[in-house]
Amino acid sequence: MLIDPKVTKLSIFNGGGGIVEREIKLSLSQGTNEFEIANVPASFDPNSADIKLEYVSPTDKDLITLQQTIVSLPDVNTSQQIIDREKSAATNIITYSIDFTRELRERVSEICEASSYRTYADMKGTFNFIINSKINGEVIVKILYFIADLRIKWETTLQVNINNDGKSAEIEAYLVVDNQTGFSYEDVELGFAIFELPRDTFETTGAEFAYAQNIPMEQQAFSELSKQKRTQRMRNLML
Amino acid sequence: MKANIPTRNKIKLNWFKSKANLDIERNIKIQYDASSVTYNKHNWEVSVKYVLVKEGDPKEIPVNSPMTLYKGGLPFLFLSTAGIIGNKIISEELIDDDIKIDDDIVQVIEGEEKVTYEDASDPKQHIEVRTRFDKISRRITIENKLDNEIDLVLDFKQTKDITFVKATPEPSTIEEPDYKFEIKIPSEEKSRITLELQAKIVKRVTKIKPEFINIPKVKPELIKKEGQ
Repeated sequence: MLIDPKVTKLSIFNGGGGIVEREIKLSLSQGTNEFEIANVPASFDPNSADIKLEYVSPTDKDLITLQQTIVSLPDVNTSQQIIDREKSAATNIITYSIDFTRELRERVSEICEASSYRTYADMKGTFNFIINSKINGEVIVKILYFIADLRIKWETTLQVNINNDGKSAEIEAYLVVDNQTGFSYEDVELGFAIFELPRDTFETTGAEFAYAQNIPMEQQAFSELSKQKRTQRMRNLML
Repeated sequence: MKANIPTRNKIKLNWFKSKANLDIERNIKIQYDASSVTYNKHNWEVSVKYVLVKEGDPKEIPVNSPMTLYKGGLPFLFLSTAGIIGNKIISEELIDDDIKIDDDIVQVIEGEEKVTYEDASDPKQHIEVRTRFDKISRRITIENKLDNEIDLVLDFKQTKDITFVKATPEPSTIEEPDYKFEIKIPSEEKSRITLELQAKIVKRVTKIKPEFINIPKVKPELIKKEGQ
């Protein structure tokens, strides 16, 4: 069954990317229940994808269990071909549109812009899970995954008003969230962290991912040896 | 904090408002070597950074966050943060173009040269070492082109060849090798510091030892007569 759990929390990293937390209450029938999560971006990290069950009744713990999760990313080359075709179609729409009245023009630009910004990270990833239930009941499912997409990030801007004495000032601080991804988040609890995803995990565009795949495995392992990692601790903002 | 994050959009959220104490730190770092100490002119630069000590709880502000300074409701400086230490927000260091520094040579008194010898790698040669101690006087003029009084610290750093002798006015603090002068300059005025320094000038020349210098004897019959 295709489900679209609501994004409850989005923790954004200042270096790009973040953690998405989603939640949904599901009705289960006795036996095996298979679910497919909609709107999971291809920039999600399959290794970090996690599912937690929250039981409506404490007695359900032994009756409802998570059997497995199934995660995968779309093929890079095929995705790129689809994106290229979309972009080409968008160009044709602009070139050959006969009717370009105001309402239509806005709609056309919206569609064409969306396709022109689209990258591999805007494609959909697969995140399925199977729950075994010995009863007909309900369970709350919490889903968590990292998104390795540099196009969503935050920064602060400070406005410092210096007083006439020149010795004191008033600071006004703002958080600016820049979301250039193809995904929207409605009425979401925001978290902000000072963190930069490790460079070798970036898979925001198909090209970069393909490049990483082209390096022979033994070479990748060798190149890892020469890199000594530095500690990088995530710091959360106190809002 | 809840918000809507639409696709391909930037959203701005209020974070905090706070009062803060402002400290403007201006620094001039001066250092010479045996060659540059005798230059007729140097143009040093003043680095300036803004330190804000905010009231209330500390906030984690990432480095390189944009910061705009406003005075009288108008923006006058765009810079970014360089670091946060507790409640201290420290801006990046900039070159202050409104403070001009001229460093001119006043006098050079050459010292007496002492010649010593050192062994060279070739046993037939030796290194002639000529050492002299010159007394050098330089005058540093700092001009404040701003419309307000400024405080700055001039930091003269002694090196192995250039040592500090005295200065007018005297340094405010001495932490060898640093001699720091705390200076206050009113708007559109100049301040001067005269530095007296000693420079160790060493010249090394590799020469053939005198006992190994051969003057070749020319046979008389080989000397051509004029006209031949």
